[in-house]
Amino acid sequence: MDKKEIKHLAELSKLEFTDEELESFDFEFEKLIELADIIKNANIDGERKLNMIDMNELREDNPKSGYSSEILLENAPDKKKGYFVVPRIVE
Amino acid sequence: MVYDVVIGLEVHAELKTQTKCFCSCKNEYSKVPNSNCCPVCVGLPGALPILNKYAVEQTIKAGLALGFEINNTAIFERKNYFYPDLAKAYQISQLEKPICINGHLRVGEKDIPINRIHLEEDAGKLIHEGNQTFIDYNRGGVPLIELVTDALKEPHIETADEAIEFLTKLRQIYIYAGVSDCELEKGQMRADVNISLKPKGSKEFGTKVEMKNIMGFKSIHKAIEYEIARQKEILDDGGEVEQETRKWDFEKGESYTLRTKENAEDYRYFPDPDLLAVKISNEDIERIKSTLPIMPGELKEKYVNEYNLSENDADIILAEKEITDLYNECVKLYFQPKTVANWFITEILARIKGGAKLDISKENIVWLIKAVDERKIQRNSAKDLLSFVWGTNLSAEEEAKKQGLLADLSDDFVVEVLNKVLEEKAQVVEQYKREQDPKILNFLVGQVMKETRGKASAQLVMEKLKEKIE
Amino acid sequence: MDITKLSALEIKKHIKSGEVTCEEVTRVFISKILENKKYNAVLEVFDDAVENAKAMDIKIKDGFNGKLAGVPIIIKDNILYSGKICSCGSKFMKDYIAQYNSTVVKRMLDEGAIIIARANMDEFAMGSSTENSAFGVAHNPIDFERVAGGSSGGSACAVALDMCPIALGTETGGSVRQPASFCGIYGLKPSYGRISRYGVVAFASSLDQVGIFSKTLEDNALMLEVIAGGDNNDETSSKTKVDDYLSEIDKDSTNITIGVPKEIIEMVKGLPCEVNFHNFIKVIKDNNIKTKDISIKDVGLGLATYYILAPAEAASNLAKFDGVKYTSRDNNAKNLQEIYKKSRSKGFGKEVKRRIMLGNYVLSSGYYDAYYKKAKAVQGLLIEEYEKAFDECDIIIMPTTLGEAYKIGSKPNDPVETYKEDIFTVTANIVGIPSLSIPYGKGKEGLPLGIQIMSKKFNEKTIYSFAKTIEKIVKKED
Repeated sequence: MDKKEIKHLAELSKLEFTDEELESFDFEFEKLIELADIIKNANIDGERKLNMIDMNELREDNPKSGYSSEILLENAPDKKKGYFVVPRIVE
Repeated sequence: MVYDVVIGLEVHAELKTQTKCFCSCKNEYSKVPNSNCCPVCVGLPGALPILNKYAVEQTIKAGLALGFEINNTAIFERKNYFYPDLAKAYQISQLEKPICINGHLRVGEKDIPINRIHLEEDAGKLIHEGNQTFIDYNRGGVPLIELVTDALKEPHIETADEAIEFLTKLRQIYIYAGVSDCELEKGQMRADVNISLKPKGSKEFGTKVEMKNIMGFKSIHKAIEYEIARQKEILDDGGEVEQETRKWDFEKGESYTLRTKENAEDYRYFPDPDLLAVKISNEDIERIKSTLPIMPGELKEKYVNEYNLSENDADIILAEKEITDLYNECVKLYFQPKTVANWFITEILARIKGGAKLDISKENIVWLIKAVDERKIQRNSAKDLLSFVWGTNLSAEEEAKKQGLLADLSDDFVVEVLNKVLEEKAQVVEQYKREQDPKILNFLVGQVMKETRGKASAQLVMEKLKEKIE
Repeated sequence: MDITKLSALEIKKHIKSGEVTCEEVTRVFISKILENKKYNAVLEVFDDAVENAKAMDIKIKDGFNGKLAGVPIIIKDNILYSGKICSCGSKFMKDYIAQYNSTVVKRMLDEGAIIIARANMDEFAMGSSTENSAFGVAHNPIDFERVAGGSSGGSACAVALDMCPIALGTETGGSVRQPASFCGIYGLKPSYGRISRYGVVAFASSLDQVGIFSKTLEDNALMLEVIAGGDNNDETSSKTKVDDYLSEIDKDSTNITIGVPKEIIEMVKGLPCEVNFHNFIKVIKDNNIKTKDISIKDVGLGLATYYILAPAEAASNLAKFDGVKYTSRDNNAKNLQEIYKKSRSKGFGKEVKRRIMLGNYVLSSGYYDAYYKKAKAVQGLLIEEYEKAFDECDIIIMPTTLGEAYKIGSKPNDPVETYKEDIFTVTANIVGIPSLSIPYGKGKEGLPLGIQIMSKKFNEKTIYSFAKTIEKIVKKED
């Protein structure tokens, strides 16, 4: 596992690491992958079993009144007039 | 150099349902931000998605209307990426086992192969204002179906015109099947287009460029032509087309790079562990099939073969579903499909083209057509009456009586008056026999109308007159 | 009478008879929490608990007879209780207020429970010692220098120290059974789907279940009766009938067959739990309960499977904590990307970040088939192997932990060494079967050990009645 790959993972994870953290991460990650690699010994090619639901048991299409936006935005770090707010996004 | 163009389409349409795809919030537009929302569609911790049965049925309906195979097992996956309009930081979509697979749609002489239709949830809306972006999750979780053409199989969509024909037909079918209103200006139907060029006859595909979320058929047409020209120029100059995603700027009429292959997203799809795989039995599929209305293709055949409409007239009647529905209702009440079609094209559609909203009862339409046919009323009076009762609750028949427009004279009486006029104007009749000038006929009809104070049917008079003197 | 020593069933009885009020009971338990603050088992005592108890007294006088009428309960800090903070043991969520009740909370309140506090836990339930809590470690109730276990360490410690008769925890790979074992109490992980997950902050959705800590088996069964059952807010919850666990607990279970997996006999060799496990087998045999050697061939793949599936789902489940809709936003973040990265990097602790990274690794393009897909297939394989094993026996037993509770701070930097602690517990989650850790025996250091009793899916009642049989045997021997 090289630094570039770890950085890519960090990007996917939206996490930042200092160089120091990255150093120790390198070592830990190797161990973690060693553990995960045990799975490669499994001698199977079967498909996994699926937990099924019959489509007729799915939720009926009956609307319920929603929550007030005040409640839904209660924990928002930035909000205005019923909207969640972030700094302007530039594409 | 001459190129083969290969166009792939990914078309999103918002499903017509009462509730959202994975929660019981209302699936309807609201001006008040975050007002049709709950912990599920705002992605609050601890909330869990619960799949809407009707959204599955609607997807199956869309598939059946387009001749798709329906999978007996459907799986929902998470598509993971960070963006503020995506409350959970993943979109619930379908990858490995979509609900519908292997369909096709006829465009001109080609049967365009379609890979799949899958069900997924829409994202929320972002409003950029000043130095802030505002997030509204009302649209978040609204059920969407995504149709993906199979550009790897022949035949391909090759021109902007074909793409638009594909989209127009698809829209018509979705509206007919009742799965989506497909209102373009509301963004209920949106398309991603991918385009690649290859030297004519080459087996190998060229590099694909994708254009995201283009709204409106005109923009799509322009964007396709622009992209074909752009790639052609690059290739003609000996350059290489870069694999990328571009965004269409409809104001400037050009596209720009959104992201290149290097920073392509890795969506890390995996089956959503909060949802179960859905079992769709053949009985379910049959039951849903039986609820499908007749599709436009079938109707057109009926119009042309049974109703003897011209292809062109049939297309006009079939262009908008509410017109088609009204037409069919009227024909049911008065089985003169050709006459009714003429009325629709010359009177009703003309008014709608002029900006009127369709607001006239089938009873009024049928009464007016019938009254003219039976010579109870003059054609011009009928047209005036149509305008008069349009957009009201008034009855055309009642109004005709009130305004004294009814030709309540018997045919015999009209013939009597006509005979009298012909006697008095024997010289004029002679003149007509010599000159065959239609103006003379009109003059004679006018005389009869004068005698009957306009209550005779001019058409009837003309008919009888011609019988007498020709 | 020391109320805090009583079981929930006894407390209920005393309140009903009018010997004590629900208010008195609640106050006594709250004092107990405050006396034992140094154990750091509880993060917050709810300030309306006494008020709610008073209201409950009136209700009970009016004839209310809920299954938990007046019983004080503590919940793990990742179970939503409307209007209360739910921090998941994370700095990132330290001020997060629950906007709705989880199904388990709703069901407990409907039956008259008084929820008095929220318990400490490893951040987002990732860990097995509560050392990953942003609010400090929960100490072992028997030896203060040791861990209470995790991730539901606070809940286990609270029950063991008589802060409440029953507490809820959550399980993903052993987070109820392991701390129950370390603290010497009962800890149930029910069948997957037995209890609704609605309103429980997800770690790994396909493995998560709410679990129950109690001092008595009857209390455990009572709580399961209250919170089990299908829920329209959780598609993965099962509509399978909820048994009368409590009334069936004394059912004779001497003619059942106990399966002892030979792979487990191999695995325990040389481990601190070895002697105790063999003692247990001997005791059942001595009491004429039939045992059978069985095989679960690939049980050894459980740990790797778990550490692929759980982080993968966690990486996705925890992405929504991004500083946009909730969770604290980093003040220095100037744009969206910085909000994401800085808020998450600052908000999440080390172990959580590690698992998010691992999860994204096994899901990322190029690795998905080799890890995630393969792990899913192994999961299917293990389900089959367990099903076959249960054709031959009614109950499967194995140790809960490698050994006794370890010293705080004693685990090395290598995370995998810590993960190995979960080796006996993870398969029940992967397979979805119920497993109860019962307190049985002591280790070399004199601390409690636990034995797991597992059954087929949705067969918790057999677990309870067998555990009851064991309890009777142990009492007789004492």
